[in-house]
Amino acid sequence: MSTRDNRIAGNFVVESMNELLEKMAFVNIEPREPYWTGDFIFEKELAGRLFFSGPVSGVFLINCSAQFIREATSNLLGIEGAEVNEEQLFDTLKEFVNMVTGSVLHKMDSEKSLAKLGIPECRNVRVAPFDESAPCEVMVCPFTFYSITDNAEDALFLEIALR
Amino acid sequence: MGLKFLIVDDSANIRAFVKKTLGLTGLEIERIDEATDGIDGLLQLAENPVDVVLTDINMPNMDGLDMIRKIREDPKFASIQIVVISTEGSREKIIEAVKCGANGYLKKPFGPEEVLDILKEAIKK
Repeated sequence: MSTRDNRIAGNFVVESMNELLEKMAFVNIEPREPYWTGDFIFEKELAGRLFFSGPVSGVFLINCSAQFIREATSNLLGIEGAEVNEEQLFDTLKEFVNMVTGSVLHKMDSEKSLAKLGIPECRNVRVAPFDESAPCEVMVCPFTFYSITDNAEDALFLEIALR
Repeated sequence: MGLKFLIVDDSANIRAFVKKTLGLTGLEIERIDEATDGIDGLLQLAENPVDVVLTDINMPNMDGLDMIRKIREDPKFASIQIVVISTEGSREKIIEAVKCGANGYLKKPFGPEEVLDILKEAIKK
């Protein structure tokens, strides 16, 4: 992809994540400058991943802290953060991966289904890392997450590798 | 009497979010049932008919489109309004859902206003 295409793809990822959080989970995040790297970033403990295939194929990944997903789940379900269990955390992350991937692909072409989405997988990568490396260069869209609970800043990473 | 809903989605969080969102629309609601896939949805519908089905597409065992086809094959469910809620929002996919018998299509992510708008349309019918 050209530099212009990269910028457009990066914008789609940022717009899709912002739209998701504004409509469903009300978590305060701020995008930082996207960049390209040789493999996926696993700086945070949780990761959700989704393969997609068709005219456009690739992998989409969200790497985030448990705190980010806990706050998002708490707002999504309207319950206290302390009440959120592990199953709900993983369910939210899977849905986020699914929704952002669907939204990015839709922004790339709103007429046709560009790809068939796979089944989202989700895990604590400190305990069970994903064993496959990226199929090609990865575009990383980093965000700063402002935690209301901790009154602190954290990072999350949305990563996309198109074949 | 209020409206009876069936939410079909394999994600418990999304079912809970849709349920919470329905509560924010101001609609008079009698009952909200939940199902985890198309087969579960059909079983629940046979036992407890509803006015509106809100369903995801991609689910294990039986997907949303197959479930809609089955519902539309049964004349006793002819008046049920079906709204698809999916991450896939391409024109191609929406046409496919309508051909199967869906009355409305809501793309995830969505908020209460979008749910209310699509339900107003569905209920009018």
